[in-house]
Amino acid sequence: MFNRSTSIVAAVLTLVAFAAVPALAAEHGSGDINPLGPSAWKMDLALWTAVVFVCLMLILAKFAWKPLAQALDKREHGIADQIAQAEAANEQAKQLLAQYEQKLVAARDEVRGIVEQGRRDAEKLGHDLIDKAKEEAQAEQQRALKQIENATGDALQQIADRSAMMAVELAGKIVGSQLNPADHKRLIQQAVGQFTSGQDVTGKASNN
Amino acid sequence: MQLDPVKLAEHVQDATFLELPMGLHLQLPKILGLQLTKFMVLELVAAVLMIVIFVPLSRRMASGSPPKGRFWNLFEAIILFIRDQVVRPAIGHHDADRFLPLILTLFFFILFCNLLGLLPWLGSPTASINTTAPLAVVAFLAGIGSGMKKYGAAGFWLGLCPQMDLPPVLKVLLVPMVLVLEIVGLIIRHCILAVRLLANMFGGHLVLAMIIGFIPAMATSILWYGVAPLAVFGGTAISMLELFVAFLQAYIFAFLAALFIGMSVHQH
Repeated sequence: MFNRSTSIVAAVLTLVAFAAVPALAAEHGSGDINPLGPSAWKMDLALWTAVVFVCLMLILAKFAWKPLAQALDKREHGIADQIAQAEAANEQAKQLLAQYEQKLVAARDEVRGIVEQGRRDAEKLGHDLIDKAKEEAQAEQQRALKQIENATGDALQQIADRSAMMAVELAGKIVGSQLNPADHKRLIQQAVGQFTSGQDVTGKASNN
Repeated sequence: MQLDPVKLAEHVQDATFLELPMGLHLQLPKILGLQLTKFMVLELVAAVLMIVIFVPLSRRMASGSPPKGRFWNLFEAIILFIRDQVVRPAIGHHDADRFLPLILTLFFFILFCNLLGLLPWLGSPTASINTTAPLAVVAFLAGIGSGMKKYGAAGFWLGLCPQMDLPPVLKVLLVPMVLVLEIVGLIIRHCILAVRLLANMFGGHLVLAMIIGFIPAMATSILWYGVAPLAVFGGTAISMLELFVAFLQAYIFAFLAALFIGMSVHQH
């Protein structure tokens, strides 16, 4: 704030002022200025002070300090009550929060259980479906095999029936004509050929 | 103007007239044989100011509305400080509220009297022993009165002597001596209470008058050009210090009065 030249000027002025004090003190004599000296005591002012002070205290005590102290106490109690209420509300809120958190955890566990159960049920259902499909497929396969067996049996039955008929016919033919070995061989081959080609042996044979 | 300390001291001492601007004096009248003085008028001014400020303030506070404005907050903060940091710790929470009106009145009366001295043409009544001594006497009487009420007259005065675990012979000799010392100490403590406030206010104003007095005293000298600016600067600085001292001394008086009362109502 103050630069160097300002400081120097202030120092010089201070020296000048202090130099003036002894000169002035020598010029003027000093008197009694003792505030506790005998001349300083004045009973009228002291009594006045006491009366003014006591009256002031009584007036203020009745009209200012007492209502003021009561107002301060009332405000303090009000603030204390509000703080207590706020603390109680805070405590209640904390308890509610804890309850809700507990419920939330329980709900989360429940949801997790439900999801787990669902997954398990779904897996079980899937397995069941697969097993059932397998069983059905197997049953279908069995049914098909049975049908094939039946068809094969029918076919073999038909073959057997037809073979018997052919044998009967063949025997009739053999019995009906004298066969030399060459004819015998030819007839057999002809019958076998007709059998393999599925043609009617009777008809062919009749043609031959 | 002369730099005579007696002449300078007139400005910080009591007078039968009020100083007015332009060097005018207003002579104070005699009422029923009592000569009114400057300090009497200033004490009345301080008392009226306190009533004008604190009675409406208490009504506003009693209404229950929250404190508004610097004025309200300033005084309420001071009142709370005096109650919570001065009276209750010094006297004890149980008895404190009984003495709160006394200590508050002491503090603000002294403060207002001190501050009046910072206004031009006025003065500080607290720069007179005739103001500070009655205040100390009130504190003294409040202390011993409440002490005697609590412990009984004999119990209070005998209780001033601390408990001493001594042989009976020594006790007979020592207890009266210690008792006398304690009673004298009690009185001296309150005398010092009055003198401390007086000395601070009187000394501060005397120094201020001395510094400002340099200006007219040096009017005919070439030194005036150096002295006058320094005196103005010094006067301003001392005035600011006085402002602080006004609050400090009021606080010290109130605090010590509360402490002495506390010692009287709680002897051991």
